[in-house]
Amino acid sequence: MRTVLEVRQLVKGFKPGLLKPRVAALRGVSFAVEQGECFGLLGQNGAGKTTTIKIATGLLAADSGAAFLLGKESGDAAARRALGYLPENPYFHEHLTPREGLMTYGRLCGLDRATIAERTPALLERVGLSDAANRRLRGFSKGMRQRFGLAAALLHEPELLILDEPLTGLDPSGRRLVKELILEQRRLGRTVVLCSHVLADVQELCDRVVVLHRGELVRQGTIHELLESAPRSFELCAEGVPEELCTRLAAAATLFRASGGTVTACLPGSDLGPAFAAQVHAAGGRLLSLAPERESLEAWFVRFLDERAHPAAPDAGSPRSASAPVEPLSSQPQPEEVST
Amino acid sequence: MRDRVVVLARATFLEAMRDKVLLVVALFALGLVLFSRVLGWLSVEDELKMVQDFSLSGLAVLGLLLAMLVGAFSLAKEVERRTLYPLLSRDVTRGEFLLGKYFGLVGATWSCLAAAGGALLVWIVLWGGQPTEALFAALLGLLCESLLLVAVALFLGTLTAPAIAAIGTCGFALAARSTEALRELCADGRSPEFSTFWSLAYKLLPNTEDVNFINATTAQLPVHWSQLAMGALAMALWSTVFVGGAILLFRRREV
Repeated sequence: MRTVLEVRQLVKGFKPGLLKPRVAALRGVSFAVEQGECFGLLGQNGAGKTTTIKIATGLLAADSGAAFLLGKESGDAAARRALGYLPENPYFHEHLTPREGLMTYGRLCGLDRATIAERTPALLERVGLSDAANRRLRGFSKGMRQRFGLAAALLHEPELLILDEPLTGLDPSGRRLVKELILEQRRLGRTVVLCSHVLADVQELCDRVVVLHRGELVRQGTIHELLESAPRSFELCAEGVPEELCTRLAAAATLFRASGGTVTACLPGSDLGPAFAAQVHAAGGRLLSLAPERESLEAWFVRFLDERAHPAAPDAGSPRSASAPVEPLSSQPQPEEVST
Repeated sequence: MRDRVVVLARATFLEAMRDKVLLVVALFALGLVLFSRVLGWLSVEDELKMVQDFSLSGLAVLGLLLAMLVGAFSLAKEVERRTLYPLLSRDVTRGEFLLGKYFGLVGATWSCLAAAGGALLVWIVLWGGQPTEALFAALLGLLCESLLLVAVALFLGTLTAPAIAAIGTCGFALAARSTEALRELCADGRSPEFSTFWSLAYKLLPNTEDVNFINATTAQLPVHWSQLAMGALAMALWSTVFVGGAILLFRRREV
């Protein structure tokens, strides 16, 4: 499989003011995105997601390290021919109409007028802007600008699509549209890099994610690997459970309900559920169901960052101690200082 | 490369021309041309001479204002509103972006100057005058001067805040019209120790008086077209220097 985007040992710092010390935005971030995957870039505000994207799109130069688009350095304009980019809160030349804007952006990607003219109506229709095709972008709402930005990013049918917060500011139909478009791009074999705070969307759309925290890459893996490594809970439902076992179940469960001889218990962790199921069976009870419950990406993310901020004694279900094949923090370079 | 520069120039031109600020400045210039007739009535000299003198001076101010507004503020606006992100993330170098921007802004400035100049010609004909060769030379000279002023404004705009860039452009325009004073400083011999410096500064600094035919128009002097051609060439060369400097600066700038 071909690597479409690769960032190697990215280090970037900013000086917030003349006399203020340099702030490290990225500290040796490395990852690679393969062709055809939908890749998520996660992190809190200020984690370095947008800086990474800006370096990958050639808008910023790294202090050290480099980003490669299809094997060429992103600073090279020709490398960006295969890139479609939607910035966060996109703004465009406000006195142009969507038609004129698409003509401009299309020509800059090397498309000829006829091709742009042919693709424009369908694309505007696809993003729901055909009625506003001749209105100036100045009067567009945030959501409409977002839709136009998406059309501009898709116009030249790029191999790699980098979307920075594409779902912010959109109404429910707009969100659905963007999700459909992303899935459509995946079906067409194109690569999508998605940067979003809405983790439910990332979970729904992405195959693989990296987590950035304070400029460092702290975790990467497939959604399945991340959530598999997280502690699961089990919902146990049984009947004919002896009184003594019921008491122990109630004590261990985070949620316990007993009605009409049937008990339902929510058991945290990956061991308690199967263990109690065996005990129910041994005690002569009847196990009706034992359903594993996976943690959502959002819950995992919050817990993961919380555990990083307040490191406690490691427990069996901790994502940091799990044996899933993801790259741990220790394998990432962590320079002490950002070069100035 | 040429295609991308043309596309960027066209987009910049459309964006500038549709901006209300430009419309207001152009209307102001038109107002000056129309008002010149009132001054002509009040003047004890030739009425038409007054109309030409006042209108051409007004157009010179218009050229400077446009350079300050479009050149100094345009790039800052692009950076602040991040409208350059969708452009620079494509197959476009920063040099191409700035070149396209420059040509687009020059196009917008020239369009306004040409419209105001055209209005002046019509105005003169309406009041029974005949546009002279010198008047055409003066209008062409203003276009040449604006070529340089937009380049300077763009250069300063990449270097510093837009307001400071605008003030700097204004200062440059005044200095470039006053280089003759440097020659006079050399000639009067009062400070011989500085004469080499003044002489060098006179030779090196752009002199927009080379393309200034406003006085020739009002004084009805003959026009030396070769002087205008040489002046235009000098303006083009100086513009290349400033745009080149702007590109070098912008390549290193974080957006």
